[in-house]
Amino acid sequence: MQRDVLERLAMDRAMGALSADVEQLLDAYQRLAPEAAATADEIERTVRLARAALAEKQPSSMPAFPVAGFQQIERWRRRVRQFTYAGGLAACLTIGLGLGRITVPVASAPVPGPSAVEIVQTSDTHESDFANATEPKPTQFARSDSNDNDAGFWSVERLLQKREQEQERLPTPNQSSPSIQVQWPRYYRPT
Amino acid sequence: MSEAVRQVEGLYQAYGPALLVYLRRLAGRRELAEDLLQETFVQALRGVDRLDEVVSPRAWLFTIARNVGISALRRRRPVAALAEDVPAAEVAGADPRLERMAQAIDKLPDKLRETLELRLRHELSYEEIAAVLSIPVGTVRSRLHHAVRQLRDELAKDEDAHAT
Repeated sequence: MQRDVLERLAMDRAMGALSADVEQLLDAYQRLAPEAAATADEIERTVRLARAALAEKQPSSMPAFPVAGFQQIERWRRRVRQFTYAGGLAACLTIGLGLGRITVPVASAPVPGPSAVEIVQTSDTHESDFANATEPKPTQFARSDSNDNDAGFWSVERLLQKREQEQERLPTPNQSSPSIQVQWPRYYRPT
Repeated sequence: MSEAVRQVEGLYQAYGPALLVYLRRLAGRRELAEDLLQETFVQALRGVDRLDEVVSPRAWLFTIARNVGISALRRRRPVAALAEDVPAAEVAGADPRLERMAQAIDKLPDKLRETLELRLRHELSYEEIAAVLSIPVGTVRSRLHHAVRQLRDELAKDEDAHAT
């Protein structure tokens, strides 16, 4: 065993910080190597002497524990903690509201619900209309509340516009669909 | 009495005397050491919520005491106080061998002496010393090893001088 390692192990044993297994191994080694035993003994003596030199009597009188003072400190501590908690909560709320105000655009924030729509017949129905009609007329919508001029997503104007656009896109019944001529390859052409 | 104050009082009864000895060695004067002891426990009360997470309350209190003591010494700087108020001979007693050993310990560098004292005087484990001094356990072992080697050398020199 190297001298340095032996000294460290002997010191750990003298300090009382060596595990029982390692202590047994060290004892066995010392029985085999007497010079190692002499070194270990010297270290143990030094540590024992240092321990005795450092041993100091416990103080004969201890100042009494200042209960009243500590209770006052504890009360303050609790109060500070409550204020900190309340302050933190208020700060979080303020920051949340502030961020919400900044990030959400003001115009789109309040979304109005759909206003009431009343279905009314805008023109009188004539008999000729029934005679000529091949398909039922689309129901026409008219707003009952003409004062509402909202042009938002849910506005009635937008719904009406959209419906008109869809009707324009649909083909009328008398429009004939264009014929498609299929060019068969020669070898498929029927004879 | 609130639960926190009761807990701190329990710690004061258990570790107060050892901390007073430690602070007396650190600060030099008993009056100052008592002030520092009180400050240590005020700090402990402030951090008593963390006590459940602490592995060793003793190491935790020694860490607080050390920080409090070092801060106070930085403010006041009573450099010569230790030599005046806690002489080695008083600590060692009348035995000349112990007196020589106490003088040899006083000659050790601060880091080695502090580590040795925490182990031999206050009987903190290597892990507790590592926590108090904020160093790895390996460094604690290394410091103790160096301290013991220096003490052996110092005593051997002394014995040679006495022999001749």
